[in-house]
Amino acid sequence: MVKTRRLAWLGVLLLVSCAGTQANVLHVQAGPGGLSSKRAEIHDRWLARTLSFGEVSLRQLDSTFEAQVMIQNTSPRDVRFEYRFVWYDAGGFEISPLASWIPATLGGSEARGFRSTAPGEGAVGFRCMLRKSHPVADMG
Amino acid sequence: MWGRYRALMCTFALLCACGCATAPEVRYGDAEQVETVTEDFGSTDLQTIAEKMVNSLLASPVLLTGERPVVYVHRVKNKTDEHIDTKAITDKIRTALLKSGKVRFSAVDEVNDEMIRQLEYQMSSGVVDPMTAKSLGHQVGADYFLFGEIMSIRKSSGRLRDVYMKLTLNLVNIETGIIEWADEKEIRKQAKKPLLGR
Repeated sequence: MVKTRRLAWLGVLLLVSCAGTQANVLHVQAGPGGLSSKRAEIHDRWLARTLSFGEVSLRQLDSTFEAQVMIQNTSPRDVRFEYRFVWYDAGGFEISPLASWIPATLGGSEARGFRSTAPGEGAVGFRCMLRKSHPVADMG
Repeated sequence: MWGRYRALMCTFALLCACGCATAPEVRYGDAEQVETVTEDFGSTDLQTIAEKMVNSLLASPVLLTGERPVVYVHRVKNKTDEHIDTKAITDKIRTALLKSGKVRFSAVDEVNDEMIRQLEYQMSSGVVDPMTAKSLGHQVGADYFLFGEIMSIRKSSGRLRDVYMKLTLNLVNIETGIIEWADEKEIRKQAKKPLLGR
């Protein structure tokens, strides 16, 4: 019985140490008057308990949009994470010329707006993605 | 029973060693993944800077007129103590802006000599059909001039190393000399040396 439990713990440790990182995604659709709809897709529940998507603001810039998503750190500690914005057109095609993961830190209980500008006229929505820090390698 | 348990543990350990092995190997990685191998300027810094500058430029009134202004890119001055290929920064920003279709860029800085040689060849070699030969004097003059600089402050104390980097970009109206847009991106990186090793 003890041996089985040890094996089970080893298995859990192996799974945790080799686990990948899934992102939480906020889908935002823009309409003629600004925000049309938004929907959060949670894949990482731990991250969702620590960082939550807040208010979404859309500003019309001539023929394109500027978006701001408020992200709230609901924990009392600093949280390091990565985010990116991916814009897409009416056909669902991604039109972001840059969609790199950007590292960021929010202090305990801090909320801050993260911005992105639609790259072209055809943008109708975007996805704001959050995930835990997931570097290629640690410093040091 | 004990022998079977040991065999099972050995197999499990072997699987762990194979699955999570850190032996040197070559594989393709995600170019957009965050890189923090050292505190020096890296791919994530380049991508972060480009993202911030492109977002800021796309939202600037200069690019919202719909006139697709022509911009001349000057190399970003490197005032840090490390070698940074600053052309990679301007190239990444230029590519992203070109894809937006809101701005055009002059290639005068990079391939002007080649262009002039090609025009002379088309006009005077006698090889090119005069109906299709391009002539001198039709280059489009740039409306704006993009320039900037990157600086850093590096400090270390004991095992801790701290690097602060700042890139500033300016867009100047060539006709009036007025800076129409400017923005900066700050990056701070810290590294802690291990007790053993380098």
